[in-house]
Amino acid sequence: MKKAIVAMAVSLILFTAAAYMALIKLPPSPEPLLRNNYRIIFFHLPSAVCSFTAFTITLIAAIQYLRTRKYSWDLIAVSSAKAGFFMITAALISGSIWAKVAWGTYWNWDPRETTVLILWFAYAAYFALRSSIEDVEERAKVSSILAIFCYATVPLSYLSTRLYFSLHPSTQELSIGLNIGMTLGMMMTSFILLYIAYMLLEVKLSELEMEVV
Amino acid sequence: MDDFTAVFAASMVVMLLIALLFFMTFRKAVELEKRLLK
Repeated sequence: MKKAIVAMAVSLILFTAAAYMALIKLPPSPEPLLRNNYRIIFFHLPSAVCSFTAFTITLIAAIQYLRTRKYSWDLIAVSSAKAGFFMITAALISGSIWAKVAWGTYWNWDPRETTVLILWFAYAAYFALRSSIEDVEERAKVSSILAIFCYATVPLSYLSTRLYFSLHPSTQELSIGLNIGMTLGMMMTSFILLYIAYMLLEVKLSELEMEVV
Repeated sequence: MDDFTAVFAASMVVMLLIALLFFMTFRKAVELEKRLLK
């Protein structure tokens, strides 16, 4: 509990500093299409990176559950998937708002947008499956197998901009200056710390809940 | 949509979703406490 509070406090300090830099201190972009809307990257990119991290933890926990049959691994998998799902929803919505100002429409069926939407539906199916199975062991086993299959959508959406023509820039195409890079780094660290705090709280609570039930 | 509205809307969406995630955990803790007190 103490660790979660410390992680949350450090995260909030970093978030406040990064948000000040992102929204007030940094100058507008020299690119005519971006100008001030490039500031969305400071919220959009960390949510996407954090969700991919969360889904990777879900994959590891799902494999560990299938290997060891320890229920705590399933709790880690589902908690991490929940955090990842919220983060990818945030990335999807903030991305479509950015697409509206930069490209003219909210949705372009761009490879990145489409593959992230597939990812979103895959994890939505993961939660739907979990809520449809009553038996705890059966639910953990089946959802761990599905979590492994769902993870295929993560590299697919990450690599989509390299595999197909896309309006969305890939990580190689981004040329980021020192101040923007520092602010992005601070924001990403803040999001990852929030994720760690969430995981510590959620897993502990789920374990307590299991003991009570 | 102008740049200011877009940045404001996008940052609000991200922050609200994170807040909702933590709110769900908080609600879970409150329900658990109620069950323990019974």
